[in-house]
Amino acid sequence: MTQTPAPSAATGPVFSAITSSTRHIYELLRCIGFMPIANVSISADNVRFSVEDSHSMQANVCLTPDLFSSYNYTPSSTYLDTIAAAPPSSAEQFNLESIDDGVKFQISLSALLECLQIFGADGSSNSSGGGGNNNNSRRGIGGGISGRENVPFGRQQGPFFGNPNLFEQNSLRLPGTCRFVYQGTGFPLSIILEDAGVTTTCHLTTFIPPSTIDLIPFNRTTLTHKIILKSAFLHDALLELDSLSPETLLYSVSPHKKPNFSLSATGILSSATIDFSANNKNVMETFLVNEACVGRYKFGLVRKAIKAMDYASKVSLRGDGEGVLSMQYLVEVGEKGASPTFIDFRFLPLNDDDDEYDEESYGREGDEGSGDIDDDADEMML
Amino acid sequence: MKFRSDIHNISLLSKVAGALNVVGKVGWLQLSHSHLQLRVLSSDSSGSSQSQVWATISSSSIFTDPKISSAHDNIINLEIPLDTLHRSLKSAQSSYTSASIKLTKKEGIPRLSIIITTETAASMNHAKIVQDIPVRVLSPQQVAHLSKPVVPKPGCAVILPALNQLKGITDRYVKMVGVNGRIVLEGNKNGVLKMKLDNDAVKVESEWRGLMNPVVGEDGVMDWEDDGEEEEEMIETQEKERFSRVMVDSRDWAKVVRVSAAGKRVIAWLCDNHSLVVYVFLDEEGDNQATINFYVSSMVV
Repeated sequence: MTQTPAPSAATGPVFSAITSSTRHIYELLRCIGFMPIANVSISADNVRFSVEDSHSMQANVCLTPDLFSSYNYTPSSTYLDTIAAAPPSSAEQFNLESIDDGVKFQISLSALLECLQIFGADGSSNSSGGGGNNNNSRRGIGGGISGRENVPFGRQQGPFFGNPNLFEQNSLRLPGTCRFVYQGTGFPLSIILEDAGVTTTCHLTTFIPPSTIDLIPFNRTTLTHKIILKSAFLHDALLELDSLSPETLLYSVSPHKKPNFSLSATGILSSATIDFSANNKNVMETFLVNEACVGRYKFGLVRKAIKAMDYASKVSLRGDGEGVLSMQYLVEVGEKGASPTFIDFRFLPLNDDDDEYDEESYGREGDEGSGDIDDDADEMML
Repeated sequence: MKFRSDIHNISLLSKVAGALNVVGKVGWLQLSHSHLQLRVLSSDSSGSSQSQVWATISSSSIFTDPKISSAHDNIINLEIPLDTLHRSLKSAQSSYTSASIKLTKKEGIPRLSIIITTETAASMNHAKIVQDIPVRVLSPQQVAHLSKPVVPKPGCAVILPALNQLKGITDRYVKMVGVNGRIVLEGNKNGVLKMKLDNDAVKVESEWRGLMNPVVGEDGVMDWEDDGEEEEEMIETQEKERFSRVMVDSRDWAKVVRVSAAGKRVIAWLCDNHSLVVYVFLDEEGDNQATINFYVSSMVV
């Protein structure tokens, strides 16, 4: 991608989007908020935020146009009419491997998360501001995603809806608006929040991204297994193992032998294994295993997906021949009937004889992988 | 040196002690016939920033029939731990039938004793609780150098917006600039207040409009009743739009906002590049019976 060095605003913004609720956007981005910097890529289909840690794991969040009441992307300096073609399906919108000619830059994700919380900020609520909703434990709020739907952002005073504060000024005010604007290369990503008598403008500095941001390759042709389960189960299992402060997560699947799927970890004083049975459809929606396999992953990295596990309703776990673990979290957002969005995590396995990750092999795999699947859409679980 | 009195408004005293405890650990309590004055002596702030907090409450709005005498114009100056004072008052606040306060001496150490009589509903028994707060008596010489800062007439005096919202937004700002970061405040006489931060990763500006601008007299007395348009017209439009600006330490500003939350009405003076003064009026009417003044010097760019 060639970049024009000098900013040129005369042609109007490359990207602009409006929403009256930043809550879902905040909650989605918070799931990858464990890294301070994110790569951003804006296209007609979505705004994608990617983070990576230790060259061993990557996480992606796509903000789909469904999350906004208006979404405009004008890629070149010439004005294009709104694309008349049928809107892409949710799977296409979240196609990580698709050829991406969108604009790319880096921003401070931690600053963006703070900015989003300014919207509806109210120091009186229990959470750290309206966007905070940090007490977002699944048990606290009506037992799952559905319980949280249609709660206007910033108006949720606490875990109980029969709240005595119902008639406080906060719950009666008019909804605000939140605008995202990106004028083009060299300009900041601006967020304009208008809410309850205050207008806040945030200009997030856009940095030039590294020339190549390689996606950890996931080779669908060598798929070893695909498991879909309620992400709450995975969340609880990870929390259980986390209490051991383990170094490594042992991840094993088996097509016939029980347990069919198990996660285990060993701490200094003890070890634990959590087994899932493929027979119980309440637990495991899909269980497709071609061959038994055991993978070892750095626990500290897998643990970073814990917010996504808590926020999502379902998760699809897949492995490929190289041992790369893909976790795709399905999140139901927006109005009823809106297509869900996804949070995608990929983890490289730990080397069998050495826990250290080998830089060289990553590069090689990357080349191969992208060649294999470039034009092959990475289908989602639905 | 003698001091004793009944307390009829323990919650007001508790609120003031709590607000000042946000800012520092040790306070200077000055008791006189007319006023009770409490100033934070030691501040938690880092050396770079300068701030002072003074609370002034008219004696009659807290004490009933105070008896006070000393060799120095019947004024008593005490150094007092603010957290102990706040805790003592807070515990008494929930259930008391009568409360009094007196200066005593036990084992050679001067103490301020708060005596609370409670009556439990179940037993109808009276219980007397005495809380002794160790204090240090300060001589007039020791406090002579402590005086309220003199500030210029502000370029802008403005009633702060909804404090819950301001606190919520300020918390986000502090997160973004860090504890010793810089936050800029700008205000004009046209009811506009801006809060800004600027760092490598992000520039943020929040703007409130339609706020009230109390009129500040030459003597510093404020009048926020809308008393005629003559004054309005006298101020030229250009002058009204001009912004006064101060830059303050983020931690100081966060404290200002926290202390302000105790108030019913809060007015900020923006003395251009000199200082920020915040007047926290603890009564609904905004009269001067109980106020907290927070002085923060503007940082030099």
